[in-house]
Amino acid sequence: MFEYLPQELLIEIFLKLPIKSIIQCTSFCKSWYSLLTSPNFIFIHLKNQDDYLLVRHCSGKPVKENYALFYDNENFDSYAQFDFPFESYSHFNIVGSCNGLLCLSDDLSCYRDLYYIWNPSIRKSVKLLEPIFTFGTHGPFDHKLGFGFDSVTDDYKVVRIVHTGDNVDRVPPHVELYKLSTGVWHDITPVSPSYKFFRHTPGVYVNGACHWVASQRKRFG
Amino acid sequence: MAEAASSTIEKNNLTLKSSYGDEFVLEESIAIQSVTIKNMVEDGCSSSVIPLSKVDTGTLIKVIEYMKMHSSTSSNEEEIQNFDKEFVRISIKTILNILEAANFLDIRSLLDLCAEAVANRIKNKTPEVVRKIFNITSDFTPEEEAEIRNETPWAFEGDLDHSLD
Repeated sequence: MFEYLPQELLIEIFLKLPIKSIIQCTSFCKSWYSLLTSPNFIFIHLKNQDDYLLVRHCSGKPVKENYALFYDNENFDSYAQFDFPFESYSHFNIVGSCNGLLCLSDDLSCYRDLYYIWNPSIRKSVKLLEPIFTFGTHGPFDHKLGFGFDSVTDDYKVVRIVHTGDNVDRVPPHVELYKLSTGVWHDITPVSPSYKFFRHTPGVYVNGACHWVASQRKRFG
Repeated sequence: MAEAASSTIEKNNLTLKSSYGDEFVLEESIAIQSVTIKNMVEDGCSSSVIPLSKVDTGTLIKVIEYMKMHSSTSSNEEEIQNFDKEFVRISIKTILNILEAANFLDIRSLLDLCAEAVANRIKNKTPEVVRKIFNITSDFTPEEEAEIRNETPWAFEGDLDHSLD
């Protein structure tokens, strides 16, 4: 019907489609598939989205988690609701969110090594492998988590800082890093600063980096 | 004095020529909504006829209609919104032609309007219909296509529209 439409105009059209239609279009021909699944298109698509606020509401017993997006406007209009596909011991800890992805961990009431990276819009998730430093291998621990996007390596990462034992002044924390691209945890303790990370203070992901509250360890504590 | 006045009038009008050779005289203040034409005016290339070799007559008439409405100071926001809504109630092939012209002429708001209109038309259409509109053929094997569908099954649920326009 139409002889030829330049790729830049196809992109303009795709950017106006709802996510469901974009996914349908990936199955129509190979060139559309490679265009729509390319990091370039995903990046442009992300930049073209409005900013929404994510709200999680937990209710009932057993706890049912409801995740929804709202417009950041005066009416707080609803934009989308998501089916929550996971089961936890009580409810999940939201480690962080970045570029439409959520990182969840089931660590609020027990030592459970259950981590997910979830894209609610396309209803896909990745269950992370069991970390290196666990209750099974190192006994009781207190850990800090971080999730974010590394623009240098174009990769999503989860960081885990694990204090084991009672004396956090004497024993430096173990640190491990999960990369979404490789799907495995790496022990990065040797290259990590050996601070004492404060309990009960969540980390934040700001300006492309994870931050935690920490202090120098006392050398002879 | 008279000469100066007439040259001012000439300056304010531009002649656009379609790919079919039809000429349209348009006020410069209206035509420069097109960044392409604005650049030509600023570079002093607009003294004679501006040939738009990529825009056919029917498409150019629609583009001029759009530019006239959008530069009109007498219409309010609601009137313009209603105009836009009516403007894209045309065949999808015509919208695609205007989309290409808006891209060539660099009229961002018209490009957005047409892209959105095409998106609204093709969402929820069957693969066969969308392929026909964009003149693409499926080069996946049935197995490959099934594999893509199985990767995100929810996106392929629900009824689709078989109509072509």
